[in-house]
Amino acid sequence: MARASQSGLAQRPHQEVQFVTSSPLRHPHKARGRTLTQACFAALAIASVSTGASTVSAQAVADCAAVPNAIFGIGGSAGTNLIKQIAIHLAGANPPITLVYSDPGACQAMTALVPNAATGAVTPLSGNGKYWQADGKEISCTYASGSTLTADWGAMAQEATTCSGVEGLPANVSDNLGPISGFSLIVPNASSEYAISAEAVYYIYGLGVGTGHDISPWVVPTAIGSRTTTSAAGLLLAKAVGIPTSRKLAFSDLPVTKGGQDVGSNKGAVEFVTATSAAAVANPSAALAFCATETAEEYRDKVRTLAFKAEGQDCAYFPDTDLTGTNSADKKNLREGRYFLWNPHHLFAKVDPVTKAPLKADLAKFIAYFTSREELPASSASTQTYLDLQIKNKNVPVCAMRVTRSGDMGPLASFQPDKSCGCYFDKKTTNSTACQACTTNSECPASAPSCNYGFCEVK
Amino acid sequence: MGTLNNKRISSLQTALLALALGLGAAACGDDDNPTPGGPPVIGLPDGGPVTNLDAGLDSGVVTTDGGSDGSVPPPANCTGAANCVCAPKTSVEFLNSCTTGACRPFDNKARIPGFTGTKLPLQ
Repeated sequence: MARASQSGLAQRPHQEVQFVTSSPLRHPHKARGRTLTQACFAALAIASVSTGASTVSAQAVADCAAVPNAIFGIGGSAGTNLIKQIAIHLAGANPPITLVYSDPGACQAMTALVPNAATGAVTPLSGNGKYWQADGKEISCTYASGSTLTADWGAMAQEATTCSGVEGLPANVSDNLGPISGFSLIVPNASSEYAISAEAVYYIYGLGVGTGHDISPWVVPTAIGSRTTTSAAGLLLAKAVGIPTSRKLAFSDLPVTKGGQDVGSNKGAVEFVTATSAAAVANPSAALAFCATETAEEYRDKVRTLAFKAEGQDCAYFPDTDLTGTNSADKKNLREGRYFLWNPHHLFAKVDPVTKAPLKADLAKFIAYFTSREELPASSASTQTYLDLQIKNKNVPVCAMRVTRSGDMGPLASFQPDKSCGCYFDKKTTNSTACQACTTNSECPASAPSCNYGFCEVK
Repeated sequence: MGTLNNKRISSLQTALLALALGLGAAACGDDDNPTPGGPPVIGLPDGGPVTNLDAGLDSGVVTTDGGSDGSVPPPANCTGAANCVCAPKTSVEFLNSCTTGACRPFDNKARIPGFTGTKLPLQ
């Protein structure tokens, strides 16, 4: 018997593994210094408002199609922060890669990449996009009216077939799995509520309020935020509680005049329960919405994730061990299977239908970074590793997971990463770990023989 | 279901565990077996009811006989006490696996009017 893990979970070989397992990440690299001037970006950022690292431009200032070194993507807002962090890093690489992204809704990635059954064509990019400079500035751009530019990649936190009308991916689109995202039922911090069940969510978002099964205090329709059927958060929540994904969630199509419950985005969910819904502001305990957990955590000063009790579960759990304190960021319940609402981020990419090679070299690099197959390149923007980037963004790297699942919100199974980083994740998120520190495998006990990221792991 | 319950008691959490177990180990029991009078409540700074399902496993000592497949046997110190699963294998067992952390009760029968354990069909 020896020390090996603090989770207390049995590690088992991959069962129904659907994820890209954690291929060995390189050790943290040292930045090789500033590598590129960004004059072209500065020229494009004419009207940007500089208010800090995550500055947002005041208005669209550029033609997206003219952005240099760009690969163009579209999808949901659950992954926007992750994409943003990667984009900032890649903008400072030599040569730079610019990720231009639009996040109107997860399933828009499918309409942009999967040919319409009737027309045989994909939908060109339109409307607004955004990209990020190495200094963190977010720049808005616009696709010109009538543009025929199509997406190189799409991002969702769900499988393609969860989107309505998509029966599978064509041969020229690949599906690449990235970090894990939790999903959260959120309430304002002033709410009296701390937990919810799958059954309660089913009644609230399936049957709707006023059906005789109202669940106090969530009985005010205009205080309940929802999403349309193009939202990953909505589709995954529906799957998790047994609502058909073909069915609109309750309140998703109410007009703004009746509360505007289609909150539009993950950030919109936070804004809805804390500001834009008058009913929610007046009665915080009646407020409810849902979004990606990484978004909820970005606004922990305003909202909290409810503990969730899945069907067949005896009690409700937060994603983290505790709501506050030392263990309030460890994602232990999510990583070990007690918090049910999570799914991997997917990066869909245009590839050669025969060789499956990405059609653009920069796209191939982006995929390699996103999936942890390659470490991020040196960048003037940051010296952090991709592992740290994921943790900082409140994602869970696959290498820190102890469970996997088959399909979107599917059943859980034990998971042993190829190169575990659970100890490192614990150390980074709680500032402590029971794991033995190490610099080489030879320092580790037989029970945990692999020195990964500075700690002895079973594998 | 696999082996149910139990865990060891860490010295720092003895009092908390005693409270949790003493007031009702089945505090987070399912809706078919609700705890009379409601679950034990342990106050936290953030408020709201909390139930501690487990007071062990925090120091990370587990048995590792080192299976070549990377599997880890159940922790020897997880002995069963509060409706949690020491060595989860199935999806529902992972949902109910043991932890040192707190869980929050949500009694469907008490909270959902007319709930009988079966969800009404959507119309």
